[in-house]
Amino acid sequence: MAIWRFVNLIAATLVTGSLVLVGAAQAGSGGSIAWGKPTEVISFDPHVSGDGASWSFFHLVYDQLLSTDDDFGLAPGLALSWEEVSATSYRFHLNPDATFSNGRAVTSHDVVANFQRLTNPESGGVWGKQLGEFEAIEAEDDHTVRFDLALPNPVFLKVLPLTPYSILPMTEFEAGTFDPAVDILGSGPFMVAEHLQDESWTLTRNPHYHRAGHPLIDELVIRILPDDSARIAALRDGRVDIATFANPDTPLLLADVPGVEVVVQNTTNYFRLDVSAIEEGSPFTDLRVRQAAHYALDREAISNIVFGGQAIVDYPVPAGLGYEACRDDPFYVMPRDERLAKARALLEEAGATGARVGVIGSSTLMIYPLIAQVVQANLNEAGFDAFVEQIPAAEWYARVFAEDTDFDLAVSWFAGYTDPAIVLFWWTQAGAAGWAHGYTITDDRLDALVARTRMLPEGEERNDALAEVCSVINENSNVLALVNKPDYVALRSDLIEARIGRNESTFDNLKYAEEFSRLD
Amino acid sequence: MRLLLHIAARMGMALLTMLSVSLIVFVAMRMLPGGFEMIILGPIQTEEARAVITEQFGLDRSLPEQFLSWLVAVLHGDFGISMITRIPIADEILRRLGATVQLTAMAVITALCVGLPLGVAAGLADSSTSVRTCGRLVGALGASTPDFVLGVALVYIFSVWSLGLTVGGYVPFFEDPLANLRAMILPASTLSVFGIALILRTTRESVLTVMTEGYITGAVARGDDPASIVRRHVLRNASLPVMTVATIYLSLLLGGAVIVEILFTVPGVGLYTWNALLNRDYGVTQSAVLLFSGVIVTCNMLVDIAYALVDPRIRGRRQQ
Amino acid sequence: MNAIVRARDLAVDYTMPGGVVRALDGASFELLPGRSLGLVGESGSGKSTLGLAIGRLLPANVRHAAGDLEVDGRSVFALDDEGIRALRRTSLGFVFQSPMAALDPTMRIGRQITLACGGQPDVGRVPELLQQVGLPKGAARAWPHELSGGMAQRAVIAMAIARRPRLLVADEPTAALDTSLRAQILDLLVALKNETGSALVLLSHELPVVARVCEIIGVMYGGRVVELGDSAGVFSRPLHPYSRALLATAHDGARPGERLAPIPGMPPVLSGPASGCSFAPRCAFADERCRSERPPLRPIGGRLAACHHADGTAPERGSGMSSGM
Ligand SMILES: Nc1ncnc2c1ncn2[C@@H]1O[C@H](COP(=O)(O)OP(=O)(O)OP(=O)(O)O)[C@@H](O)[C@H]1O
Ligand SMILES: [Mg+2]
Repeated sequence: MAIWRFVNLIAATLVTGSLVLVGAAQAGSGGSIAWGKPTEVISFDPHVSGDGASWSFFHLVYDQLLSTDDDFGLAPGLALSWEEVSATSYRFHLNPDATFSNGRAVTSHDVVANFQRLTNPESGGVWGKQLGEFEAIEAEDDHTVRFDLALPNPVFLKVLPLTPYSILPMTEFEAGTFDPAVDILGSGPFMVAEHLQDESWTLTRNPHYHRAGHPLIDELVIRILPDDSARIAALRDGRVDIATFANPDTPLLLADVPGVEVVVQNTTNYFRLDVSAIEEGSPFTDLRVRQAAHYALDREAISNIVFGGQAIVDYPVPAGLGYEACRDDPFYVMPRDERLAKARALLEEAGATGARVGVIGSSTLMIYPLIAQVVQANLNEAGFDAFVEQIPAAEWYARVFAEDTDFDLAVSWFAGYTDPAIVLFWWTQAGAAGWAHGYTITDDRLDALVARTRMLPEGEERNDALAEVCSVINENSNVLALVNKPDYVALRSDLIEARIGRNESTFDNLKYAEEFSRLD
Repeated sequence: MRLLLHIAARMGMALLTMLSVSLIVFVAMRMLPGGFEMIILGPIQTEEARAVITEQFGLDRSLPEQFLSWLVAVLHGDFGISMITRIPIADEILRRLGATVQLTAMAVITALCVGLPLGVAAGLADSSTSVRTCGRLVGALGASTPDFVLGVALVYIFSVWSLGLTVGGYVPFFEDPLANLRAMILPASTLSVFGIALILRTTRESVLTVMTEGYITGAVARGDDPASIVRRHVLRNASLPVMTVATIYLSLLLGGAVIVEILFTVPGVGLYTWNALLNRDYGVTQSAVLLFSGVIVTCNMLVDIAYALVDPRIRGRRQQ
Repeated sequence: MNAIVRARDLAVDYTMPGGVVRALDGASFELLPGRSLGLVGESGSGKSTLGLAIGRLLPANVRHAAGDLEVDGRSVFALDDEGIRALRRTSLGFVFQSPMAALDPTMRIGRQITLACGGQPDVGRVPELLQQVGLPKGAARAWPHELSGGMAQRAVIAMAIARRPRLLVADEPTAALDTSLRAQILDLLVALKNETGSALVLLSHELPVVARVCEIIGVMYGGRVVELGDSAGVFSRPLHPYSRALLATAHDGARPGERLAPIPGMPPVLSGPASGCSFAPRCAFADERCRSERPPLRPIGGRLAACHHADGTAPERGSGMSSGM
């Protein structure tokens, strides 16, 4: 304990000291940088928002207790240090310099109230569930918070860097002067100066940001440019200095734009295929038909056709996190023609040859319909009669993530976050409740296995457990992992100096925005 | 007195039209699958969290109740707030109106400035000349190329060779006129192509028809020179169908503006409406549609009046 | 005295996608200033084509194939565009079939007459014209759609005489009108002709009508003028067999307003110069010569006729014609 304190003290001093130095050296270089962002922020409350496009924005304004480093490891956030008091108790030491952009220091009380809101089913959303249950959240002093968990949760720390666990100014919230659905007020590097919906966000530096002298720029303008070509044009004529893309063609499209550098940002996110396993009338209520579809999938083809060979095959346990689970699963390793034969046989056995099935590829993401087309071709090779349904987001949500579902197959994606247990939770009944229970089977064995992996510390035993979870998931063939979903960040490296994280698991695409600077 | 009655009746009809359009849009939107609470919270969410949203915005009330309360509010001049930004819809529409008005005005002016002279020229030219062939070709091509095809092509082309024009760089005109024009030329041209074709074609047909009329032969027989025949007789008489078509164009333009605003990221009312429709931000779509139907209804009335000004036969009928 | 209008062997073709139609096939006639000529003939005989040719108002698909047409001593086909416009303005006035179509619906009558006067007429000119054609002064304020057919035709006539033309061409000016109005309009035309001293070419189906109002009659058939002479003579003793047939049918009680086509057989539709007499197929007197040799328009008994057999001793009208037909 004493050692911990000491280490933390040194760390804090070092960090603060170096920050002051850096700040002294670089403060005032100023200027404005513009980011071409494909999607507008649609919900303003980080605690309930489930939209990755909004998340990448929230990180510029809000801080979390912890953050991640470039290798998916944990790094300090608002908490400069933390200790695991026991298997069910954690203590966080807040950065005493952390201040909301209104000038009020971040206190333990904000953190306590924040997590109370998150775990309250009335106000918090689905994200409270990942935290597990708390016995107590206590402010030990103004800058120290202790969490007592009801049960051990080895991934507790790993979820804290995620966007939904952003620390809001809860004192103002309680006073009624801050409404998270409308107002945006955080302790992050930037604060909102102006928002013109569908057009732009103007962020200015948070003058009270805890890292002295940062951000280096005075202003970060976010231009909402949904069209890929429009963002490319804007990069070309310098209206934006940096732009994010989901399209794997990006490096190719930007190859001849002078001064532009494209960084492929590896993520732990992956595309998936939801299979309607319980809706009456769906051919996929028959396990054999689900498995036939699974065997028929050709993930290499998806990567080659849709992603120009850039995407890697992915697994329920995200490949990006570096685990080896599922690597020798028959659904993956069997040669394609054998898999096809197997699929045909299963389909025949189930008497479902020629079954007419729709593959929903919502137009929400440009990629979805493309993936759906490859899936359609894969399935037809195995004897299905598949067709693609390209529908808007709201319709997709309503047909898939509802009490009464109305679909056969739908392309979607999962965020892999910082630990496999986080995404695997969605496969359990508790995790699926409220959104996926309309199309996922209940499998107590799987629930128990996932719960177990969640409890296990890193190591051999956990890896074995993950492998087992993976094979059960694949066997159920209810939700199929497809291929990895990287992000692409293009920047005018002739105009700005911008460090871009190579590995990103929390949608913080511009994690180092506070260090961005202009070259001109 | 009669005229006043007539105008009153027309206004009544117009209001009725707007009311029915509102109702239809209201019903149609609520019949769309998926609600605001799904969009705002994303697919992975709890039912409790969704219920909080539906309750907060009264989306759990019965549909007639929701429509009536919307209507009553609108009649009191209150268009409500956007459920996403919580900004008053009226403010937001006003802010975006400039872009849409500018876009449509540029498109209409371009369409008229290009379509009318070309149409008149094509209509007057001998059937053998290339002018007429060109006119026919431009008309057919322009009218059959959908805005979005043209728009996508332009966006792509100009992302490769910008030629000083920008895609998605909208700046209000009074802030920076040059940057504004650079951003608006492409969307306005895209939008005007259909209009040019439509106006060119109609004008050409109309001029051709008028040219066969007896009073044109009469004027020729009196030795009038072609220019004054065109000025005195052709333009006036040919303008009637052109005016009708121009109104239709204006109605189509509002639809086209939506598409073009999306393609070129022009933050106007069209983009607002479209995003609101996708996001199920019901009040926004309702109000925008009300505005659009108001514009269309007003245009129709204006054309009616213009018709009467040009064609005494209609005026005579009205006054009887 | 020089003729105000003179056609010499005028041939005119309509070219159409399907081929060529010869509308005028060597039409000849002349008219002295101040005189009135009525051109009669069946539908398709080329009256309108000839009338339009006088002002070179023929549609674009017309080819001037041969011959010449002079107005006031100037060959209309030789004039440049401005020349022909000047001729139309100074020397010609046209009245067409349908008065309603001839008025611009978007302009008041007064304004249209003003324009017809050349744009800046002397004060009092418009009322004078209105009075000349028998319209009330108030008609100037009227819109075309407010006028009856007869009044509209008077307005058209007012426009036609607005610049005191030396020749007035009226192509079936009463065809679109009520029967009761026809005589009035024709009488008006004749009265105006006498009053202003202009010449008049009246194109019509109805021989008796034309004979009543015109001094000279020209009978047209197959794109030619087949007989030309003073009204009384042609009407009482037609020389050409076609003229006789026309007259006979007129007397057989063609009711007013009825189209004339009681002569057996069909009028010809030529595609080039006729080799013989184009009436031959329908003519009771036709022989080999009629079919192979074109009869020239030659002076016979004080008028002109284009028939090999006409010898100036044609029977008095009505005598035994029907039996020959
Ligand atoms: N615009 C035209 N195009 C082609 N052919 C034409 C045209 N106008 C007239 N014709 C043809 O030329 C011939 C002469 O027609 P025209 O109109 O001069 O006769 P018309 O004696 O005036 O007949 P109607 O009594 O019917 O007016 C007819 O065979 C007619 O079919
Ligand atoms: Mg005629």
